[in-house]
Parts: sequence; structure tokens; C-alpha cells
Amino acid sequence: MNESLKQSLVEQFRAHLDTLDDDTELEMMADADAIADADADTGTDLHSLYIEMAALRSEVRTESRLVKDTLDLVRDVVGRAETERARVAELEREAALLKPLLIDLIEVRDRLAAGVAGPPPTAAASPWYRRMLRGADTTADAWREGLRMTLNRFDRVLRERGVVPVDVVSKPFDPRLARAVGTAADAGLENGIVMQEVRSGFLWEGELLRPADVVVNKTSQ
Amino acid sequence: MKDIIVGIDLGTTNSEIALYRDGRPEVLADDAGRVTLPSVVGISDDGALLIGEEARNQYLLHPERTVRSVKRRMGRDEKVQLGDREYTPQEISAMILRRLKEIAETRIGQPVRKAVITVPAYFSDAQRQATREAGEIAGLEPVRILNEPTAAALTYEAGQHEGKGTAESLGMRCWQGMTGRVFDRLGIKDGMGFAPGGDRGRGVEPKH
Repeated sequence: MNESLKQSLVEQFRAHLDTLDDDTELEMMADADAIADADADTGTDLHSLYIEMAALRSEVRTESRLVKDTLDLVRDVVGRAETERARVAELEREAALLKPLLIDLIEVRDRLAAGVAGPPPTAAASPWYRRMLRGADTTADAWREGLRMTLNRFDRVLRERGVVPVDVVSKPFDPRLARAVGTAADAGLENGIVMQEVRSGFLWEGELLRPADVVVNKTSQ
Repeated sequence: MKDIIVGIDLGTTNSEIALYRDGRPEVLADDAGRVTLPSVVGISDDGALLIGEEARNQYLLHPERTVRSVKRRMGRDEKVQLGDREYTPQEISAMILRRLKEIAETRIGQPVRKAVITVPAYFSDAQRQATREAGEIAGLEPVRILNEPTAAALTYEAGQHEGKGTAESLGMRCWQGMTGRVFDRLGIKDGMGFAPGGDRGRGVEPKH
């Protein structure tokens, strides 16, 4: 085909294309895609297949990496949970061992507190005691002060261990913190208010170690 | 997961739940480390259900909404008043059993659905049936209702050489359990229990 003929055909085709509107153009493009799809259905393009396979392989590799990362994360979390569970179990074991000891210590503290609150031994009351203290530089006040200091030291040690007294007096009775060991009637007080603490209750790290023994106001007896 | 069968001592005064594992029975403690649960149920001022020590703590103040010793009413056709509502003895016992079940599940870390529940040797069929019903209400399948002295004898035979008032003569043992308010006895021969008997008023704790 000579050059002038080619030129003429191209010019005619260009003129034809210029006459087409946008819709026709879109239809032609869709037709072209359909033809390409038809080609793909009827035959196997090895080059395209190879590209697809390569892309697929890359995708699988990426997914595998993600799965591996996730598995590592799960293993890490499970490991941490196991460590934490073992730590909590160890703490519970320690607490179970320490709790009876703390309760015993509180019993001793009760005795000290009773000693501070009660009357001091007087020399006049007991000749034996008077003989025992002969020559000693002590008085009832010093004796009481000594007890008080020991009690304070005891309370500080308990506090450092997280053991604190339960505050129940003049508050509504709470069976979770106190045990009602008696009732009394006071019309000036609201029903169910704790009037007196017979024995102190204690919390250990927020949990009840020993309930308080209390006397509660009950006017409707 | 293998089904766990727990043993429950549903007592008049206190109750306990135990599990046989690692070759020995283990009484399971609650979060506070307490292995005995007072068999007392109550309703607090704010309407919350109290079971165990908390319920016992308020008994003196609110006896009208606290129930104890419900075991003595088991098998009777009567209702128990608790606050504004009436319950059967089985329902009250079920509350205690449910609490014990929760303790066990927390301690073991898996659901508990089956239990052996012990009853005094002198319990009648009606009382045993009521105990079974209480277990079912609590979501437990009572696989066996066992006489308390039999349970004690089995524990002894399992190698736990601890018992409450044991006697032995002529190859025959008499097991005597003296707990809160119940004196219980059962003869054991060749691993079999016989001649169960006892007295509800002869325990170490007086009747109220």
C-alpha cells in the first residue's frame, strides 16, 4: 500500500471518529473489553497466567507472614497470661499462708489494746506486785505509755502490711464488714446504726481479714 | 473436658465442698480462704442475697430475714419465710449449694455439674429426696446421696487416717460423727454400711 492511500484512509477514519459522540465511544470501549474477555475465555495467555501466578505467590507470601506474626503475637500473649497466672497463684499461696499469721497478730494486738484501755496495775492492789517493783523507776503512767508505744508500733507494722482497721462506728451496719453481737435501743439514733465496736475488724489490702464485732441500734425490739 | 464430681457436706451449721484430686480429698476454700460456709441465708438492708458468714453476721439483728439450720426442715411440707417471700427448704438449701458450686468453679476453673451430697444416716427418704431436689435447683446433678458416716469411713479407708470418734471391734467399725448439732453413727463391715442411726440433738452445739 502506497503512502498516499494510507494517508487518505487515516484521514477518513479520523473524520469518522470525530463524528462519534461520547456515548458511542463508551459503547465501543465496552465492546473492546468484552472482546478481550472472550479472548481470555477461549484461550490461555501463558504470559498473563505467569504474571497472575507471580502476583498470587507474592500475596500468599504476604499472608503467610501476617499469619506467622499473628501466631507469634498469640504465643506471646498466651505466654504472658501463663506467667501472670503463675504469679497470681503464687501471690494467693503467699496470702493463704500469711493470713492466719496476720489474724493471730491481730489477736495479740487486741490484748495490747485492752491493756492500754484498762486500768493499770496498782501497787496498792497487790503486795506481790509492790514487792516486784521495789526500787524500780516506774509508775502506772510509764507502764501505760510503754504499752501504748508498743501498740503504736504494732499498728504501724500492720499498716505497712496493708492491714487497716474497719471504720464501722456510727455508720449503718454492714454484715459484710461486721458481726452483730448485740443490740441496744437509742431513740435518738437511726435504726441499724452501729453504736459500739466490741472488737475491731480489719481489712487486708481491701479485703476483709476479720469482721468487727459490734452492737447495733435496734429501737423496734 | 472431663466431668468433675465434687463432694458436698450440706451441714446444719456449716457446709463444705471438696474435690478428690492428686490422690487426696481437698476441701475448697473461697476467695477469702475460708473452707467452711455457714449454712445461713439472709437478705441485707439493700435487698442483696447474703449467704454464709455475711448472713450469719446479721442474724442477731435481722432474724426475720435470715434463715439458718434449714437442713432440719428438709423433707417437711412447709415454707420458710425470708424477707417478703416464702421459700421451700429445698430452695434455701439450693442457695447454699449454688454458693458452694461457685466456690468450686472459681477454685477449679471449670464448670461443676455433678456432686455427691452427704446427708445424716438417719435422714428419711423424703429428706433425701428433698436434698436431691435442692441439688437440682442449684444446677447440680446429685450422682449420689451418701450417708455422712459412710463418707467419713470412705475417707478413712482411702488412707486419710483421721476420723471423728472411731471405734473398732471384731473387725467391725462404728463410725460416730459429732458435728454442729448432730450425732451420727453407722456400722461398717467389709466396706458396707449398716445400722445407721443418730440423734439430732446430741451434737456439740446446742439446739436453738
